[in-house]
Amino acid sequence: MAPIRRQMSISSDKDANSKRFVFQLFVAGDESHSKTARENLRELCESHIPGSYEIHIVDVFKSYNLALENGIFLTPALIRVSPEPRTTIFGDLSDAEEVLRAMLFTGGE
Amino acid sequence: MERQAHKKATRSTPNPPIDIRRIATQIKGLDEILHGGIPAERTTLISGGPGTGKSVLGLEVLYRGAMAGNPGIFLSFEETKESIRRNALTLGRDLASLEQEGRVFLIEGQVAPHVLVSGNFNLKGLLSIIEGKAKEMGADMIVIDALDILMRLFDDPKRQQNEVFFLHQWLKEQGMTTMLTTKNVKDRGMSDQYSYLDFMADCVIYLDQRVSEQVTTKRLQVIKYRGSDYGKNEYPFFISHDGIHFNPISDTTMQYESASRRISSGSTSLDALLGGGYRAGTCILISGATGTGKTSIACTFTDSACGEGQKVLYVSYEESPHSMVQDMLSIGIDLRPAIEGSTLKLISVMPESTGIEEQLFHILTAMKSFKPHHVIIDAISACKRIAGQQAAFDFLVRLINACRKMGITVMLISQAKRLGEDQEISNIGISSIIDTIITVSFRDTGSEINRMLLVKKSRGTRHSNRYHPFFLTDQGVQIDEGSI
Repeated sequence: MAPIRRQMSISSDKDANSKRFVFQLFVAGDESHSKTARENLRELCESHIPGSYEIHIVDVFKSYNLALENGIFLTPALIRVSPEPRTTIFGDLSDAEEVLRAMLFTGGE
Repeated sequence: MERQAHKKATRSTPNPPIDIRRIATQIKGLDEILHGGIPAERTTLISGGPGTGKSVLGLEVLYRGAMAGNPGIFLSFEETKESIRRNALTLGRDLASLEQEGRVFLIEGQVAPHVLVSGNFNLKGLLSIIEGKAKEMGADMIVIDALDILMRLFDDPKRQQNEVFFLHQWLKEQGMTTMLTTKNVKDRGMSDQYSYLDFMADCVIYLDQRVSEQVTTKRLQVIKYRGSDYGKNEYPFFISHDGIHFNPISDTTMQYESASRRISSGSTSLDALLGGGYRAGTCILISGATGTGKTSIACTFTDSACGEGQKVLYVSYEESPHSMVQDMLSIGIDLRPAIEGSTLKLISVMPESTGIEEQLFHILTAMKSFKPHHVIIDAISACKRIAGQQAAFDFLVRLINACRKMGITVMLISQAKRLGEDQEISNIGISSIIDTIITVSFRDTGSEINRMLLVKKSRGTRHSNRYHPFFLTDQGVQIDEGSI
């Protein structure tokens, strides 16, 4: 298991725009998984990268072309648009550690 | 999803179904097997091992539907759009122009084997894409290729099953006619993790590929068709440069019609032995070792029939048309006028180059367009050599049946290494549908070698049971008159 990098360095670096996190959360309307995912994501972001993130909610039923372009066949799905690399994770994000590992730590594992 | 008022795609069938609507696949032979087509607004499962032609079949149905005015979506979890287009081109299908016209939409569902997961998810993303696109195109036909790959994302088999059922239900509610393909290598009798799919789908088709006697044959079998009757057998098919082909299915009952009309064999002495000649519309077998004169007998008949203005289709596995014409000239038979006058059509087949299904298809196609009175196959032993006994038998039965239905005389030439070898043909059950058997052989008297002819069988005629010497003169085949 990879060592968990300290996230303090990310959240406190408020003037580094390049470290601003941009997420796209794909949800299927208002179903329960979607609600769970939104809540989980908000909480994780607030805890670890407050003020340094943007979340764009995409309803696949309203924006199916966006879902198609991004290969989103499963929902909920979270894409970290920025910073690179673009990363996708599926699920309601209830496994916080997985999300953190995939989404909030750039570069190393 | 709104249903378009002009939604067509049903085709009248000989036996109209009681209450289910069908979408014709437009693949000849397959619609007969399915008694009209696949069930409309329902799910058809195409299951089979790798390389059996599942995606090809799905794509072909979609393509033909799109060409007929029914737009459709092809969603593959296995191949990229480029690869789908490329494969389609090898079948002579131009998807790109259909895509431009909005009649076909390709979706590449590339799902990485190891996706990152956190918590629960479901297939709703897929549904939203299908719904959106289908509405946009006015499509109600979808092929989902390699569904099993998507399903692997759900670790738990129970979960998988639930998701698939959910998908199936949703597609039904949307009124989509769906074809799902999955890889399945099980034996028919055994259950495996995907057996629930068989249970769920309304129509289940298995594709199979078998190697027998070094020849590969693809076969299709309908396992299930809810609410409809269907052809129960295994049907061989082949995939060529212009799509998928099924040969017409054989009747289970073989009608025997007694023919009253006699046609000359081309040799008055042979006619005398046959009670006047061959019976039109029947099946004649000429059997004998190499060089005994079988082709000469067949060409004597051909020359005579064409001379009467009758059309002959001669299928040769042994010689090129040119060399055959040359050989026959040496016994005084000139086939060139008949060829030029279009009463004789000579097809030369290289046995090893095409599969037996494809050959049957070509012969039947030639029969339909040329409309011959008589068909000659020289030699059926070549079929056995290339396809094995069972396949050769299947081929012959269907060919003979087709000829019978059309009232066409069929003459089969068989190379037998020894005199008793035509017994093999009898043993596998063809003898009952052959009306006349002529065997030719060499007899070595010690001082000379003679060609001998025996009318072994001639249904409906009293015939000699003696061997008659015969000669290949420059006036064709002549039986030694003294022996008659």
